[in-house]
Amino acid sequence: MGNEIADSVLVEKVQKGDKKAFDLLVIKYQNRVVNLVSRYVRDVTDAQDIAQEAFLKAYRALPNFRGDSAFYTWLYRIAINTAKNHVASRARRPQEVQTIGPDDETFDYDDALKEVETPENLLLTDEIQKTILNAIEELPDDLRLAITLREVEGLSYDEIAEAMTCPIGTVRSRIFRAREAIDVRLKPLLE
Amino acid sequence: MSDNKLERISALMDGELSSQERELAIDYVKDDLEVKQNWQRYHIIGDTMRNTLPSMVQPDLAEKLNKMLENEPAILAPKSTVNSNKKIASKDFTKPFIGLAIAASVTAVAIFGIQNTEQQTPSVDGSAPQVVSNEGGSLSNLEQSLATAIPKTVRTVKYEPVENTIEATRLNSYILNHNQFNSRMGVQGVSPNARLVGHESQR
Amino acid sequence: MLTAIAVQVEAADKENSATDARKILEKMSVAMHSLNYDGVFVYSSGNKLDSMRIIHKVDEQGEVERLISLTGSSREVVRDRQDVTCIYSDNQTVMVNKGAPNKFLPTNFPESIARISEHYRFAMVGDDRVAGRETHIVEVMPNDEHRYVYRLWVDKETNLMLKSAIVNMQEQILETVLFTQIDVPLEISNDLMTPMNAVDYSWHTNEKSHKQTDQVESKWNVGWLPVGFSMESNNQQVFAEKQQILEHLMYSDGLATVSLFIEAVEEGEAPMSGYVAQGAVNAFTISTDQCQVTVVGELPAKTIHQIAASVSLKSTLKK
Repeated sequence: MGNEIADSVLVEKVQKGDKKAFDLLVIKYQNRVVNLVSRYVRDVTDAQDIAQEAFLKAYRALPNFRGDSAFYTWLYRIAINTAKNHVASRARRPQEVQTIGPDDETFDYDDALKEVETPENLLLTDEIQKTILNAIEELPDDLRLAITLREVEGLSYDEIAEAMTCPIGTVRSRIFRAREAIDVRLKPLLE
Repeated sequence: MSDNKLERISALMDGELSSQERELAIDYVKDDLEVKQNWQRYHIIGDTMRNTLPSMVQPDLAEKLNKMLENEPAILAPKSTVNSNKKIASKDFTKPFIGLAIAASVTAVAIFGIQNTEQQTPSVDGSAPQVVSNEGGSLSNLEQSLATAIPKTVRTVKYEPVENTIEATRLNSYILNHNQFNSRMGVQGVSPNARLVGHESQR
Repeated sequence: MLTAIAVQVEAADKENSATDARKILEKMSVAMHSLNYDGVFVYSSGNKLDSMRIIHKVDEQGEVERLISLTGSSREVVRDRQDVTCIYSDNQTVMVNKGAPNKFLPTNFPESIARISEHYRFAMVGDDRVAGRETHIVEVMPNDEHRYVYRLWVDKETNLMLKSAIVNMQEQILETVLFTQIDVPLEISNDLMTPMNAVDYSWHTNEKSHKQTDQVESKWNVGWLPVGFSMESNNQQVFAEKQQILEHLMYSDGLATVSLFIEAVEEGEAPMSGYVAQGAVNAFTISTDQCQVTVVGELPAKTIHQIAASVSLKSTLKK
């Protein structure tokens, strides 16, 4: 759906040499990826390291990304493989890479990354989460419903318009207003 | 920057811009640091709502990666397609009944992670949770699920948020599977079948 | 015919209400399976809203039911005595579930109502109009907090269910079916029962795709279920590719059903946990004793979770 179109436009830009477009993909998916790899490692900073490594691998492998699957699905597999490698090397098991799915990409990068420093600029999300949830609670019903249908249910504007019986333009502005209202609270925490 | 532009960024996130608008909006986010931060915060909001926010965030990850990639050449244009045989990437467990996963993996469902505010230890040990407390009522409503911290589980298990993940696919295919079995019973009148039909794919 | 007499019904004592409610439910069960009907209803579940048409035909051959989505992409389910066929036009897929087990035959209604009455109380809670018709509202209230409340609007004339709601203990409506229109014709032509053309779709039939072995003793012990749930089916499916076994256990208290899917976790695979809600249906997956347990059912999340957490390998099988 729409989301994937936006991704593929960004992917294409990166494939044409636009490094900055990659930033947008990183920002978009970094939390999901960290959250995903946290299942494999206990330590959050480890998870951050793995996520970083996964993004680097993704960047380097992007010329081979054919768009057969959604970008996130592809990234997801890279992240899982990276995490599994990490766990395996920790356990000093023989290097046997567990693969996911039949059309798994094989990665033959030298894992010797330049040296992954521990990320220093980490923010605890407790406060962030609370702030966002409070802000959501205080939203007017129509804004809250609109953003929930979008973010949680993954509905398109079209579908939301149908569900809320209002024009698409209204959906777009409601979702934006919801984000804006939450953002006012969130912004100070990230500065 | 005008709200109007930010509204476009918001729509860009949702994949709801025409291709022309999209180009403009992308340039706009890419080149303006402040707007990039908006882009970041808007995504943090979404991650929070879906409960896919890890216990820590690293706001400058993209920047950092950028530096690390500085010395690398910009990547090459895609090489010609190797083999575009489309295979359905799915693991065996996603098709408890063959074929069901195909429909299920594209199913729209309400998915909530469980709020686990007291702890942040992700679990890899898979120990079974013990439920200690209150049922939070309808989980079909975000507010509820966020507000009532249902079930107040367990220190060790972290419920994964499950959008677009193997878990989501798997759970959806099992729900479909369950509904199909159920539809044979027909005890509840039309409901089980309605659930089957209601199982609409998302494009 | 000018007289409209307002009859003031004294607060009927509970027992009467329960008996009446039960009678209505019995009649409803019979009506739902023995009448021809063709109606349109709105089905809402969580935040989703769909409109569907249901055509139910009964003749000497038995019952056939066809359910067609009127909103979104076209989908339909056709159920006859043997098969459940689901046709999804958006991905051009047809799924057929062959051979409904005999015990699922829906003809045992009075019996199942007796069973339901062991764990739920019935009550008449009022009258209402649905689809322009007068209805009784019957409430089916569980005796404990592990299940949901069902409210049914039953047509006074035909005894068909015209509306139903699944409600949690906090009075939140999780799922509703609401008829906006219904006809009860004497006959329904076979044309109306013909599913949409789907010959060139990809067909999946579950019958032979994997081995189902009924009546195998389960390796698993389900430590906890709400009172009154008993096993309805138990089958093991073996995936040929991997020799992996998936065990599917299904339990019911006569009204709500719950499925347990249990499979071994592959070596090196991370255990998973996750939770999904679809209206009244909750699903949890967790791992325990080297296996992945997935529990799905129309029961509150906490109940589903507790069931999932109670599964263990039978002690005789433990090393």
